[in-house]
Amino acid sequence: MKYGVHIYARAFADVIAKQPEQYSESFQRFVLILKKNGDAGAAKKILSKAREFLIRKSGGRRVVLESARPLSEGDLAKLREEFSPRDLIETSVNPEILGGVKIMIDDEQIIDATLSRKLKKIFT
Amino acid sequence: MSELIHKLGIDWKLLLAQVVNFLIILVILRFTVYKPLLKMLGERRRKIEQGLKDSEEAAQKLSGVDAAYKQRIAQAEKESINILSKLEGQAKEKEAEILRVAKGKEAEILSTAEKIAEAKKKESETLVYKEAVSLVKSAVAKAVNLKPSLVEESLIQEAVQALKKSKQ
Repeated sequence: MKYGVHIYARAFADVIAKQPEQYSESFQRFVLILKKNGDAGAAKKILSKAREFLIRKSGGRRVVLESARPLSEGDLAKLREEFSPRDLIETSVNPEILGGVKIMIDDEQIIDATLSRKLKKIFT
Repeated sequence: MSELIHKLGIDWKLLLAQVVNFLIILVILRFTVYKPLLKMLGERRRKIEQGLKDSEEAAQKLSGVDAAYKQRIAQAEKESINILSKLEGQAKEKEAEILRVAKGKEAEILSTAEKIAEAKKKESETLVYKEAVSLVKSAVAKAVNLKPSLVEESLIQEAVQALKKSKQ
């Protein structure tokens, strides 16, 4: 890679923050630059990181809800209530946790309310 | 008397000459034969006496040597008994030492065997425990899959409570 993921993401986030109305054009230009530098393969990672930067700039947090099976609408709503509208909420499925939910906020705070953790606690 | 001597045919002159001759021969023999013979006999007696004396001395010496020999034999026997008893003592000490070392090794081997057995027991227990845990987890996962809502609801409620608590 010509530049690191963080550098690309911060640059893109800065551009979007300055000109939010020109998001579509900025995005196209950014994709062209990535192609030119031969770093298009990391586009997904870069955009995810850029989104994280934008959320943080706006005072929000990145929240990942990990569950053993897709969360029902009701459960998702219940959880959403606990976060700000500025927070970016992502969901992921990991059958290994058996049940419950694991909440990761900005990769800093983790709330582990999973069945696998409870079983681990019982057997250790 | 003179007649008788005459009738016997004795001539005094001849007799005297014979006596003188006899005496001369006697003197000569005394000096040439008798004395050397006596000397030789004396010498022989002295030698015999010396021989007897030497023999007695030899016998005495022999008896002394015999006594010394016997004393030496007795001393040697005593020393050999001492050496044997010392060797016996050393052998006993060595035997005791060997026994002590053998017992130590035996105890060590037993201890090692016990440790190995204990480790194997623990290993098998751990294995059984891990398998049991895996089995229980698998059973719980299957049970939860049958009706996830039963578990999900309470766990999500727990997560919500934790979030509320973290806000405070």
